[in-house]
Amino acid sequence: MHIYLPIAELPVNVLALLLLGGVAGLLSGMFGVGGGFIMTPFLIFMGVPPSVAVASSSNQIIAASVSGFLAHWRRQNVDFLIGKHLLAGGLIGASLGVWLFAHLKGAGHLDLVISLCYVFFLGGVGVLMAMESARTILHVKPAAPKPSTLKARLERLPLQREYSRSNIKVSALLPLGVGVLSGALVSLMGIGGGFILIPAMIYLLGMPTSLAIGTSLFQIIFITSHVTFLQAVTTQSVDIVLSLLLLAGAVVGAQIGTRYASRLPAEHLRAMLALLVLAVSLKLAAGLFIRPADVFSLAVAP
Amino acid sequence: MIRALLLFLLLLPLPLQAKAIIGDTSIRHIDIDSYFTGTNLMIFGAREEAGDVIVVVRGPERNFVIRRKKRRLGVWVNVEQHAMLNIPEFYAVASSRRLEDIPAQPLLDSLEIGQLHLPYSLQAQEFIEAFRRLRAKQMLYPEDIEISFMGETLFKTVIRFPEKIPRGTYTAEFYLINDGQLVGMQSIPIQVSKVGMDAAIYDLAHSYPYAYGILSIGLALAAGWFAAWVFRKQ
Repeated sequence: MHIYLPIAELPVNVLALLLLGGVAGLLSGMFGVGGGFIMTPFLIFMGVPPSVAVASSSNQIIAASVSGFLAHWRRQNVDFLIGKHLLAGGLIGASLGVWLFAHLKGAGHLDLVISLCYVFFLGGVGVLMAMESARTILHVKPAAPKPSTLKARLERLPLQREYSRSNIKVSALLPLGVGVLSGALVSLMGIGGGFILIPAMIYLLGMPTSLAIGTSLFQIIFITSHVTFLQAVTTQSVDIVLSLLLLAGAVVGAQIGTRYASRLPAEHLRAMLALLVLAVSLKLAAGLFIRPADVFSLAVAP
Repeated sequence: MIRALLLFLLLLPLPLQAKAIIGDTSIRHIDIDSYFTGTNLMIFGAREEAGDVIVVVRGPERNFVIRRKKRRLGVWVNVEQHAMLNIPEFYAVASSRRLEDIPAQPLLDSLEIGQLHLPYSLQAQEFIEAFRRLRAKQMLYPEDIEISFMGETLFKTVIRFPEKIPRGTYTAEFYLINDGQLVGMQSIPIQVSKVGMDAAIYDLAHSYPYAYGILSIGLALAAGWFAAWVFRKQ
């Protein structure tokens, strides 16, 4: 069964989209990651223009993060003060990102930059995750962490303040900076940014894991809304039909994922996710290096 | 079909019959909906004098950017790009014989008939060739379509409008060329429009982007909240 996507301007298989949404939802239910990192590349593999894939995927993530956020909020697992500071940085980063997005689209480098971001950030995370799960499965003890000079430097940053809910004392510049980076990636990659935010919040800011997830979801709702709005206004590439179909699949997938997550051993789950992440990055990397079928391409000028 | 053509000719007012070439198309409006997979446009007419008949169907003009990738540090990057201004999005030519065999090349140039005679606002020949190849791949630039004659005067041809036809105002142009001279011509507009839900969404996104953005966010927020509510009840 096919449906015509009005903004992407191409017919796609409804079941394929529901399935893709479902797999992304399954991942978010099982691992707590948004699934945007799998959605955008697969939409591009299906022939959706990269700009539409990125913009519509951010629209879909709004829904996923709202339902996740509500669940965490009920359990009081949100640090709103850090959330607001992350958000302030995120809004700046996302605005810069959308501006860069439109600029790159005009210059003809958008597809390349999207792929590069995926290969670099997703590939990096994939390698780290694969190493860690290999260590866990093979029972290798991690090397003793070196005494960090980074930590000492971070403590000397100005604007140090207490975040009482998380019970930490860090410079307000840290959540701001993390926000800027994740915001820019949201607008360029069509992801929620959880895979950058959550590790940064846990390892850099020292937040408790339970609070990190809820707080990142709080920030992601606003950043993805902001990006969706800016994309709708500047590039007109938000496909509402596409995001609704993905969303329908994701909602069901997330519920199934949550149920099955507890039945599988955690280290195997993480190894599976790491392999998936690496496979997607490799496929995108191959696209950068393999000679394209036609070196010429045609686009309608804005 | 021939009967229909004869009827059509009989119904024409007298002064028009005096023209050297007259023609019409089977449809003047093409509606693109979700199930559109392309359509065939039947074009027919009559010539009153001897000469070569050429039918051109021209789509709306747009500006394009054509780019070429080259390998840089192992990665394929767009390194060269050219703007192409006011180029028809669709361009089909049917002719009674191959265009290059018609001894009226300067006339074809001035009338912009045939891909070789279109003004591309671009010097680089390889980019023009790439443009024609890319358009042809999408079946948007068909050329050397055959025109068949029934007797000496009546002719017909079929032009395929593919699935990804751009919307806008098209023209079907009829030319009669004899001895390097334009003997007669006629032009008919054809409207290609999108209809239905898809068109409404597309128009909303492009004409009211602020409202569309807010609508997209609102729907996603509502869906997320709804999902949380449904699964909490279980």
